[in-house]
Amino acid sequence: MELTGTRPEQVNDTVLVVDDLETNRLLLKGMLQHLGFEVLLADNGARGVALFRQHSPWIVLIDVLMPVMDGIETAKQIRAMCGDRFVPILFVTSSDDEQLMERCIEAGADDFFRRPISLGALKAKLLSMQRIRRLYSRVQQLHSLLQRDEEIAEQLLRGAIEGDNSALNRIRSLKRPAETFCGDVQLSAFRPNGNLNVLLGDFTGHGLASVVGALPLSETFRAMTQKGFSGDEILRQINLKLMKLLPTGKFLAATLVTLDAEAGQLYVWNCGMPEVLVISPRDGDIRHRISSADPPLGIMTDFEPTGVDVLPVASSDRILLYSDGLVEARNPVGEMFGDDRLIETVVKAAHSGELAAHLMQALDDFMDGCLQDDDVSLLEIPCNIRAKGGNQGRVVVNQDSPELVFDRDSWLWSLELRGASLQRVNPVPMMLSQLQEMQGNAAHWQSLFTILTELYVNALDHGVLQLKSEMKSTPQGFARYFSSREAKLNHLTEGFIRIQLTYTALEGGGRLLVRMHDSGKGFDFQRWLAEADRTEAGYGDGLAGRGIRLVVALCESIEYSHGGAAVEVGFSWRDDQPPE
Amino acid sequence: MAISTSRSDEGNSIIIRVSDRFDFSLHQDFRDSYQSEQAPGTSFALDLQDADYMDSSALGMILLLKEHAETLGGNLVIRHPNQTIRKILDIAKFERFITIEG
Repeated sequence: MELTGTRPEQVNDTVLVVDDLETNRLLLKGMLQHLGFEVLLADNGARGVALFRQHSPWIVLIDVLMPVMDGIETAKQIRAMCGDRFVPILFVTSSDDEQLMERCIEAGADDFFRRPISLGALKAKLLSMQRIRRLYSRVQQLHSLLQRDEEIAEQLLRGAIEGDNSALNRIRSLKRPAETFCGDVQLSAFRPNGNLNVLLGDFTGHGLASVVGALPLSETFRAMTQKGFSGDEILRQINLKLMKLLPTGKFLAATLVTLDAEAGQLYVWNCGMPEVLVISPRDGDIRHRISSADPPLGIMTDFEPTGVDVLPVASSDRILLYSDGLVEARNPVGEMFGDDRLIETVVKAAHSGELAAHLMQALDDFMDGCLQDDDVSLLEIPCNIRAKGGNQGRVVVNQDSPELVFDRDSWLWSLELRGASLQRVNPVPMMLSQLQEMQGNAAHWQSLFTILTELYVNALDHGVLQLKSEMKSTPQGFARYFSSREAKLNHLTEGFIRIQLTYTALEGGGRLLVRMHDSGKGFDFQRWLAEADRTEAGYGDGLAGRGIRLVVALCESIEYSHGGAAVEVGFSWRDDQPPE
Repeated sequence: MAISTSRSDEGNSIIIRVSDRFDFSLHQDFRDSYQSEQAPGTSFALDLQDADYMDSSALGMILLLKEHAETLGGNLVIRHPNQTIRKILDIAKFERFITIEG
């Protein structure tokens, strides 16, 4: 039944009247039936509650003062049964005691009737209650629609952002959004040389507004990682994107780690995130704690990551990244989970190698059912992850008869960087994209990436910058090496590196000659080459000289000239080389 | 009231005091506390002596205040953060671009 008659609505039109006086009941029943409602009558509170449970009327009229169970208690019990449904409860009273009215509203009542009741007043009240009820169900409907849409949008977005993550079977990832949309973003991708990049980002706030930057973030991270850009270059680019995209006051705290499992090295950039932990399950303790060294991204136009930590890691070590939602989670008495509890849990669980699971358990116990007010996310990365088919073995080429297809198919690409451009430009991704554009994508570019990187880094570090490779023979020296490299690079005004790539098509494959010539004084390449031979035969395992060892292992020819200041490397491949 | 403002004795700087929890719930009040200050050259001091906690949305609110101060040609100083808040400012490396005093 619909009083307004404008839009038919599926309603039950039963009204429950609870009153201990028969005259009152009959009076109301008469008026309600006259207005077209079905009427249920109860002569006390307990019976009223029972009838409500049985018939679910759409509205309840209760007399305040009754024996057995009074109106207020009756209203409370009925309200408790309503759940999400909107059931108006109206009190009928002859008193104008304001305190009593207040108690009635507190017990869950929606409005009052003062006796004597007129037919007009009753009709008006019921009409307004129907209107409220329609609004209420409309809101409920919209809310569930919104929730459904949000869930779909979240899934799509999540897929676009994190669907392409690498090493998912190895990285343990846990994420608990505070709302449908999560402002925490977890990304992972392999670099062309098989190293793993992982980024944990935390956008300010949570919910839909916090994820607008996530898509460009993930695209930039993935594209640049795959092209071989270094961590600080990736962060600088993400910062530029976010500066354009995010309004003032919104930013992204992020940690980026590059894991070089083969060399046992970890590079960490922490921009406004909680400490990164490296845990050694073998020793059962925390090996490294790396705190934030740079501001979050999207705040400063001239963001320049200063703090890269280069750390030695063992293959059994585990890296733990988490968002501040974890340490700032609160329990029912308002205490925060906190750093101390986190560290204590980690130390206790260190031996188990199941850090993420233990931490989540500890968090659950601590929060004790309390609602989260921020996104919580957690990544546990074992330090032995590397890409399949990276530069493990050299690309096998049939070298017996690689017939030259003359000059019918070849190209030459060259680039010379001078002075300060050496600190701004990283030519390795340029060379790689050059190769990809002209020769398509291929698995063997992974090895080539390593060769190009090592040659270029050698030319820059030892040639132009004159840094001593021996510095790198201890982990402490390694860190010093990096800071002195940075200082020298920032003041670079002279020097050059010339790069030349020559491609020649071979029968069923191709060959690339890479030539790099720097302005440095050269070096004792014979000693290093001998060293490389020696280590390939199983001796020595220093941190220095790794570059040349790798190059020697991957290429088919290497030749130094100009006292070591110029090098030419040959690399051949077959097109039918299987991808891995 | 969790936020109060006063004018410095010299008159060209506004002191904003935040107490208890400095978080998203203060968003509107915080904005209201400086939005009407439009005199060129006005500087702002954010006094956190009575604040005991701050979250990352408060960091965002501080950046908005800094932007407002800079538009007026003034600057922003943060004063007296407690240890907890100091740590949050430190993680975000705010000292790189905002003066933080005692």
